[in-house]
Amino acid sequence: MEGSSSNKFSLRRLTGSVTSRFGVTALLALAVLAPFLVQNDYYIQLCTEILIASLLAISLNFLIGYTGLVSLGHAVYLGVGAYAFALLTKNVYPSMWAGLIAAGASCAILAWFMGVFCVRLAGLYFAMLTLAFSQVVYTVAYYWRDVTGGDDGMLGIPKPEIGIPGAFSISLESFTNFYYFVLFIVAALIFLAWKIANSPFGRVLQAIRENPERVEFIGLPVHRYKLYAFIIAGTLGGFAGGLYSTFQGYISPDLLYWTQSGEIVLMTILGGMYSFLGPAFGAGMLLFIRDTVLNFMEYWRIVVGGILVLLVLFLPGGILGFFEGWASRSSIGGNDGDDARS
Amino acid sequence: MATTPVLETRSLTRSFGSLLAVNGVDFRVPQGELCAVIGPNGAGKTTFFNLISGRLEPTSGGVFFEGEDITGFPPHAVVKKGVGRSFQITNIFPRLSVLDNVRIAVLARRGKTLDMFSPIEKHTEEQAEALVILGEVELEHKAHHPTTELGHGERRNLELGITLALEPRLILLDEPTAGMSIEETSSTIALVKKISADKTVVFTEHDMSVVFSIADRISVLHQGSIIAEGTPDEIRNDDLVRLAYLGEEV
Ligand SMILES: Nc1ncnc2c1ncn2[C@@H]1O[C@H](COP(=O)(O)OP(=O)(O)OP(=O)(O)O)[C@@H](O)[C@H]1O
Ligand SMILES: [Mg+2]
Repeated sequence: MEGSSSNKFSLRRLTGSVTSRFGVTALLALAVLAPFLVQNDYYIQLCTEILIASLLAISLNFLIGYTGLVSLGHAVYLGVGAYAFALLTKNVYPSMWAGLIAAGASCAILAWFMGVFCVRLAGLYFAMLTLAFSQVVYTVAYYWRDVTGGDDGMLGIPKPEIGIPGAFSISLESFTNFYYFVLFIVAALIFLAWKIANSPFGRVLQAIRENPERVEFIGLPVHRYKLYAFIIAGTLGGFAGGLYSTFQGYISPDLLYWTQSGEIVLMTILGGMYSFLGPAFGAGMLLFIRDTVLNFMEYWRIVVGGILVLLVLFLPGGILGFFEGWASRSSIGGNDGDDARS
Repeated sequence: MATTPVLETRSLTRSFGSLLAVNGVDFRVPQGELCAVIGPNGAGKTTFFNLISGRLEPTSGGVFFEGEDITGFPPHAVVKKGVGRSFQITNIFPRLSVLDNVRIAVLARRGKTLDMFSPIEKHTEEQAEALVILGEVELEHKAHHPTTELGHGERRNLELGITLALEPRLILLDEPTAGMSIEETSSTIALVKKISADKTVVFTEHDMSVVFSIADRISVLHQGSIIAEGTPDEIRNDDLVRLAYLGEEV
């Protein structure tokens, strides 16, 4: 009996990792081919935006799905990353890489600072403090006209070319080139996030989500681990902000507003917070619905809201979460093995 | 008196409002002893463990581990010193696998939990060690199952396994057999006995036949104070204890 049950499990693990590897490969292939499939600048741009939003939602899910911390202020990284990119490339030096590094680094520092206060709290108090911090930053961006342009925002954010000076350079002005650049950055960062999520550190975050007290009693300082998760989430969010800045070419304090934070939470829950790629799936869905529904009515949020209500009632694991659960129940595969879900 | 006790508390006191849950407890456990703390419901046993393990701060008094003052240390620091505990109310990681529940504790003890870039499965030594511990608590065959598939007794054993994975020099077990069937109780008690061969163990337990059969020494807690201490024989014949607690049970 014992032998057969562990055998069956290792079989499931094997097929599980094969199917998920297959799924990821298929997804990546789809992303690479997307510009050829849509053949339309408008949709290439939509795909670009979806990629950036995917990174943003996955970064938030480090807190929500992995560590069990519901942050209502994640737009702060979208905004601060975007402003950092804009300020550096416009005022200091027009370099894509320097701009992105500025976006990530500024958000790492900001997350560190905010995290020191936030990680001491849990539940609603944590959520409220993240919201409060983000609104403070919003207010600063709104009123500090000299630097941020106030409510006018900033215009003319460049798409600096990339390459090796003197050797070769690639212009990112074309929609397709820019799409591939974003795909490269986003895929690399999501891969990094995935590595972290499946490391011992990532499993500690899940343990904190499940039972922070017991984590203390296996000898780990929970606050410090929460702080690291907070900084990782913020830094990844900052890169998304930098990409968004150069993608749009203009930014405004609206990026930092709390409704924007709410939207990132929606993406995460829509796609499924207990599955690694779920939030990316949710980001794609939300933006796709926005674009299609906006064509015939202004109130696209009603549609999103309606879907969300149905999801919470009938598929609480989110859409991708549901399909993954379904796949692991039927014999074609499972999740990646040890990550047991109820 | 020559050797320092593994655990010592000095006038340890904790009040909740006007209630003195633990009241001036002086308690010493020498190296290698298997010591039972008994007392009726609400006597203060769990509170006493909470004070030692850092879950609660004492109102007054001190806690010393291997001679070092650890009073007021946060739980994770107490664990790092070498004190592990299990909980009366099962305190595990529900949506992790059985293996991960123990593996995470092994990784924590070995200082691997800040590793962010290698897959957890690549830590084969820690995985093997976790499986050995799961074998000890008879859960090896369920290693890859979610804890939601475990029965009550199995969850109690997992609780114990997480604590053992920390390889503490002093182990506090708060009613390890709470709610277990008779068979589960006897195998868990056999395990506790086995652990105590090379570790110092303090445990609470409501089943008096178990306590009297395995403990080296028994301390009786009553309304927050220790009213008697001694070998099982001494406790069995103590009039005060009979009056306050044991009644007809012994
Ligand atoms: N956090 C708390 N706040 C207020 N009162 C508490 C708290 N924890 C324990 N008490 C009280 O302290 C007393 C001792 O409780 P404790 O849980 O330590 O008893 P116990 O000996 O472990 O009992 P049991 O055998 O039922 O586990 C009880 O009267 C209890 O109600
Ligand atoms: Mg108790």
